[in-house]
Amino acid sequence: MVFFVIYFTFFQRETEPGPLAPFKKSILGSIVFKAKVLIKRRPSILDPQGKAVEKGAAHLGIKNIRDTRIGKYIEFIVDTDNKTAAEKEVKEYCSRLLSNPIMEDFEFSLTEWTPAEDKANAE
Amino acid sequence: MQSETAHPVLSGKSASGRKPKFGVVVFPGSNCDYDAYYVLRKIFDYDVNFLWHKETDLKNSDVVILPGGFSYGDYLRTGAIARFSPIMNSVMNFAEKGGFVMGICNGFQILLEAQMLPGVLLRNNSLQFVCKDVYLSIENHDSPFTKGIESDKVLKIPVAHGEGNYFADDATLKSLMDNNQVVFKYVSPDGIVNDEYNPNGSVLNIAGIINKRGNILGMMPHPERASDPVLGKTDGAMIFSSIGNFF
Repeated sequence: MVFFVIYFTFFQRETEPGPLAPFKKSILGSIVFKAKVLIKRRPSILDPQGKAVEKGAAHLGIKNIRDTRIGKYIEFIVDTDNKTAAEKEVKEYCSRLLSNPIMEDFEFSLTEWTPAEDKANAE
Repeated sequence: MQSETAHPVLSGKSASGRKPKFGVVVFPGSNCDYDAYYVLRKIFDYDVNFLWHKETDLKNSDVVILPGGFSYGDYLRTGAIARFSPIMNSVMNFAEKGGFVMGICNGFQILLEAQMLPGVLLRNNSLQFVCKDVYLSIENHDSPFTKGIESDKVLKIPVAHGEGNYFADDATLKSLMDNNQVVFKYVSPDGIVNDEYNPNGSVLNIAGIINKRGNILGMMPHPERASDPVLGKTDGAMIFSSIGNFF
């Protein structure tokens, strides 16, 4: 039984908050999600900035570099403990504002995050 | 207008004798808003209002201008954040009803982000901010913004931008060409389209486009910087004059 409670407390956080959610919160602080978004230029779009940076590599004597393409990395917290809801919001944020579908593609990951981790990171 | 002599462009007469009302949107970071206001009010004596981006009232404007500048510091992408300003909902509704909208430079970038016009503006292929006079051919003489301009006229108007490199996929370009939506191209002083006179790498030397319906114009060059004779060039005034006389 103890094992069962531990299992559900720490490993079953993928979907809707279960009946143990308040218990989890009391141990870990409220659970939210950290989103990490990668925005890349679409392959068909030229990247003059990447080309210019690549020239810098040549000046440094780094010889084997090619196809440098510069994108964006964006991270933020999604303030919900419902992963489905978090994914929906992140997708909307990415497709409507963070990227322009004409020239960019995006991908993202979501991991659980507690305010305690935030604090530790800040220190 | 300061000088006693007649303005070289102000000869045309409006269709109805009615003077149109202009609205110039002001975003945080707009910096050509006063230039546009000055030209429309002082050179043309039109009724002009500033439209603050947080407002939703277009103050009965007949033509809404999205001016140049660096709205929201160009953060994320040029025009990406301005496009969600409250005023933009009103501008989109206005345009859907056939209202005239003119985006200049950053205003053009905003129109593209809002998908009111097709395509996108990338970083200049030189990677440098380009600020100089360019020459424009008029590819579409039927638009309300160019109707009043003589057909073989090459306009001399300055550009000032870092992201003016127009790009669209082949299908979009074909549709632009098929529907006569390319309004301005970068050309040589005698009107020849070539790479040498393309300041930013724009595909097909495109400097300005219009929507299919013909009421939303986006252009990178700054006509408001070439309208007062005091500045030594007045070709930009032809565009304002053309849309002004359309009413």
